[in-house]
Amino acid sequence: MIEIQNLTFSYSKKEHLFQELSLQAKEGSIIGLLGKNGAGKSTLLKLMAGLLKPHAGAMDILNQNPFHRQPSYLQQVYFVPEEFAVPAISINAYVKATGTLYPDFDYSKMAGIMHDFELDGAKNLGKMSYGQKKKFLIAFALSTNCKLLLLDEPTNGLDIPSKSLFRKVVAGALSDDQMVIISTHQVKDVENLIDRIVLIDHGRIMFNHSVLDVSQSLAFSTVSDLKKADCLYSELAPGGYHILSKKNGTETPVDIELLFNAVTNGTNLEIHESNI
Amino acid sequence: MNQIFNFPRFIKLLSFNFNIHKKRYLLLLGGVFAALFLFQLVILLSNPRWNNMDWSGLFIGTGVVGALFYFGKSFPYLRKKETTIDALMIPASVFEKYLLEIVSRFVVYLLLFPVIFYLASHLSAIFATILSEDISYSGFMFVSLFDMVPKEAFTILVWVFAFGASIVFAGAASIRKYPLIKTIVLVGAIFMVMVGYFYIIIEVIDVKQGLEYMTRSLHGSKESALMSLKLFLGCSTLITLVYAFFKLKEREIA
Repeated sequence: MIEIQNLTFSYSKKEHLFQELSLQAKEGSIIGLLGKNGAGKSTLLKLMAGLLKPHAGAMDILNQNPFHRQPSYLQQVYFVPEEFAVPAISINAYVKATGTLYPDFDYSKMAGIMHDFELDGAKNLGKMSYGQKKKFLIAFALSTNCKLLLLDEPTNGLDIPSKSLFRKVVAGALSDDQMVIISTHQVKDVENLIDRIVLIDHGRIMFNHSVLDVSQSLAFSTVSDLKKADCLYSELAPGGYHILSKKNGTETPVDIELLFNAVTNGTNLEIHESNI
Repeated sequence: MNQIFNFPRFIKLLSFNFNIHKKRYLLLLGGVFAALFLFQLVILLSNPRWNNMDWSGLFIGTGVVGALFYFGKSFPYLRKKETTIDALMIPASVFEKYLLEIVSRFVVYLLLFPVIFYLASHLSAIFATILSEDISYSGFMFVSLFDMVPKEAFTILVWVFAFGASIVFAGAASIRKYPLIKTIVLVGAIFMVMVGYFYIIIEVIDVKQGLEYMTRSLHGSKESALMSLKLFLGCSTLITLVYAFFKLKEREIA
């Protein structure tokens, strides 16, 4: 579904944001695109959406060049940006006007997700809070049934119950031929939702593995004494250390934050690829 | 499915645009009508000898200024990053989005402005007659337009108008903030440079005779010169419109 080869892009002539970045991904997955501030997560999503033109390299998404912005591409890609604008009309009016532009738009799905998010269809979008607007856009994005959904910091502005609801709704609303890419720096918000982790740093993809492979190759634990532990990476934590080590039999939940810090600190992690 | 133009898809886009912005369009329509009515009423009450020729002058004046202002506000979604993202991600081709702008600006204006002006003029004439008691005013009649401007000059004026309109339209497609003001300043600066250049050639270097000779060699008659002017304006309008299309096509989000 996504085939990016040697992508180069920059906003200024002096410094490249991406230098020969390559990424492949198949449908049927929810990808967490993680990185530090300014690493280029949002830019990569915009490049995938066709809102920016790569300076070099090849981008093939859904067998199309995103920057051509052809209708058949735009009908299959929905981008929820971090900052957005919505017209000052009711949700129902917006859905009625915009839903027709997406051939696979599912009105009953929209009604269901709106119910889950406790959104009132008669309410004017212009009078809603940022978090409510965001929930509406997420509901709309999922209802388009687009093959590729690009969500930029989707949990920003959501209250605590809405964040868990977001995970539940996204997980339940997707089919096997869809893909969601969630760019976030709030890794806790997407834990238990994403099934692939892509870390971006210094203009390159530093890590691209499924959560299953990570959990089968690495162990995440907390120890009181670092000397006794055979760890690949450690961090000081209340009551001891969070450590990342090779898997020694017991399965542990993946600590994405610890993994992120390990990768960005240059820790060499060997992940066994399982072809999933 | 055609990726450049598909009629049902374009109709969907038109309908989407109307449904999203219908309140704004109605407000604009009402606002323009009210503003024209009040403006015309004030003019009528302060000019007891107002006649058809005056109506024609006012029609052309307000029509041109209104058009430049309205066309200069084309592509309103390109003013803000958030709305630009929204508009560029709408599942329609660039050509369809461009055509939508042409229709909602040029076609709608050229169809609606004369009607609004006509209705406002007749309403203001009725009110002015009531308010002034002893004077009877009449509203604007389109036929008086052709009495005012000779046919040949009318065609040239239409072309000049089209060229001016295409320039502000292209400015709106290429400049993000304050496109109308910046376009007027830019075009004004280019105009000043050209005027200065020809002033230097004609007055300072005194090659007036040479220029006259060149003009006469190129154009044997007045008709030929007018045809060349129309051709120049027509081609320039077309190039400017194409430029606006490519600016929209290549638009990126900073």
